[in-house]
Amino acid sequence: MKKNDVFAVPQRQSQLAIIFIVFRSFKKLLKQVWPLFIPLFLGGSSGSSTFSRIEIALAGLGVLGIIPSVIAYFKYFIQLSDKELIINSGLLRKVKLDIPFERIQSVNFNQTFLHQFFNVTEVEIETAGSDSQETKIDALDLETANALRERILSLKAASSGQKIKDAEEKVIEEPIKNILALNISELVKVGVVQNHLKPIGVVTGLLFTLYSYSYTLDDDIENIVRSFYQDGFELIHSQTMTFIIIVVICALIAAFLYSVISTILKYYDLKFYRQGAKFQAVHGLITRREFAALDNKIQILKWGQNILERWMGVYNITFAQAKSGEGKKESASIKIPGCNYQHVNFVQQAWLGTDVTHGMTYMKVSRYMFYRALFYILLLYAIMLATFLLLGLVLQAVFLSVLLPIIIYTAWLNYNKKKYAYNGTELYIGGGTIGLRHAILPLYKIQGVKIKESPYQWRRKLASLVVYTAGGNITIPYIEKAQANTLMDQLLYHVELSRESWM
Amino acid sequence: MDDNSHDTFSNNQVLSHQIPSVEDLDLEGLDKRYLTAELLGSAIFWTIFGGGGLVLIYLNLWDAPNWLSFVLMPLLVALIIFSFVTTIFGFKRKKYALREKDIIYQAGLFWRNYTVLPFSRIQHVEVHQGPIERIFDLGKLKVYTAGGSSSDLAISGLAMDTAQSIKHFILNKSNSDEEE
Repeated sequence: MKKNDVFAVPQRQSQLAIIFIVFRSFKKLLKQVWPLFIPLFLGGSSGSSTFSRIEIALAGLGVLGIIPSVIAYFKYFIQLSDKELIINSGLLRKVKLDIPFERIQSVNFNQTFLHQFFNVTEVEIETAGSDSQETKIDALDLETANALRERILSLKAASSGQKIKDAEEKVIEEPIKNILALNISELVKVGVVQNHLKPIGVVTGLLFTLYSYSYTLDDDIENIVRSFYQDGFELIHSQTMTFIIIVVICALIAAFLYSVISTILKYYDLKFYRQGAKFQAVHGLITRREFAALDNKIQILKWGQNILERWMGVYNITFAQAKSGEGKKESASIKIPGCNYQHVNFVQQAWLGTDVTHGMTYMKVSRYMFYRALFYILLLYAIMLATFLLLGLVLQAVFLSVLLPIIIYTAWLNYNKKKYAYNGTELYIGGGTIGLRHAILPLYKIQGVKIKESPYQWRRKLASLVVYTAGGNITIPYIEKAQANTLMDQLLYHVELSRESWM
Repeated sequence: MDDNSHDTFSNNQVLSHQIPSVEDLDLEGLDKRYLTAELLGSAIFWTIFGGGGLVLIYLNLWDAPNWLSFVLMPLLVALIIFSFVTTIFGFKRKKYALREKDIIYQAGLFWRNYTVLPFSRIQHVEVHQGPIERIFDLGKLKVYTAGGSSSDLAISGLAMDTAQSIKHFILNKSNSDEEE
């Protein structure tokens, strides 16, 4: 316990924090001054003088970056009073940041590879409220960080305990309920079932960059890369089809490997558990991150399977959270892969209290949704077919015609799987094409409802209902206008009646 | 914070006719001056771009075939007329209403939408006034909710004092909700 009291007086971070501060200010500096480097790189094809200029520039930047960072480190103090966390910082402009414990939602640790190597951690303090932002402490010894977290959480519990007597029992540390921990073989399985099509873009971009760089590289590497591409281009001239197929296969394999490896690195040693009124997750090999999703901050619970996950019986769970801070673009959702159906059920029940999917009557959307998609598909097909035939591209026209039924089938699946349900306390929306997606939210999380009608829809007395939450929106497309109106009334009735805090 | 709140949840039956319906509402139109302001805005826009376009077509600097200008001219004129007509009819579609617990806004001539935001979910409210709006003493009411811009609402074309009083009405409502 003695360690806890360390923060009664202002404390500096771990000395290693200097490294991280320097690194961060370097990044910031580079972001601002990078245009200055363009003339340096462009102007200097004439060898050594360029390098010295770049070196001078870098050295200048280094001095600019390092000195204030070192001073910033020495001017940064963390202190705990009995009501708030106080962070004093600033060289010329003194900044005093007070965060009352009751506003602190969670204290998370993030460790990059470097942090792990030095046994330190970045500490992220998440706060509540719409005007808030996260506070980050660059580096603390793991031990000190743990002490800080314990102290904050116990003081937070104590301060809320003083306010509400009923909550006194809650001061006791909440027990941890493990939900999921991935071992290596499960992790590989998770890696294999990811959507591998996504990284194809990344891989293509990489190949292209490599190619364009091959003109700027030096000697040996340049020759190797050039000859590789020259061979490639000779192939293009001789056997276009074979070349394309080889490239496609290579890209697919590379994309597959990329997504498997990046998933394994990202979700290495995943631990997903529930403690008190929040879900928590820790994962990552190179960068180890902690995530906390508080029950009242979660807005929508989503779970689903892509086609591979369906074959393997694996689910992924996503918590769409209220974004803290206005104008913050990055979404605050947390994704947990490699779950099974029991995990999904557990999470649902833990968050919503009951097994909600029982007693829901699922309703389908209007078949006009499919007709509309069909109309656009056929229109696009007709235009493309006409273009191809006019240009005399018979092979492409045949290929397109073979593809047509598949696309129509996906559109039909997309319509046929779309369903929604409403049971008076929760709203469910499901869908998917070859995969499956589900989303559920308690009605009191809703913060706005919109009915949208396109000309096609209002001519048929149809409408789409959009449900807004602080963690994103959900659309029920193509339902009867009357039904949309009734649903809107009911949803609003529940929201406006509810007294529960929604975020 | 309290995840036991579900235990105390009561769920008495509410007959559907007891739930207030958005359909029965009498929505208010926007201030008439806003139509004038919008038409003036369109007029300025079309004088600059439409007029410029007409002059360009007339001068025919690219030596385009003559028939092309005969097609382009009426097209441009039709576009200008269309834009004015949609402004007028679009104005008539734009309506709003305040209820005890929410604000409603309807807009859109072809792509129609109807938005309802409960006061208890509103983060803050602003009134804006642009240069043309200032001439006509109009204001734009902007209502913000949490979590990004997707569910924010903006109602243009309210008389300035109406906009201000709606703003205060909403702020009072959402404050009193929090205190309860």
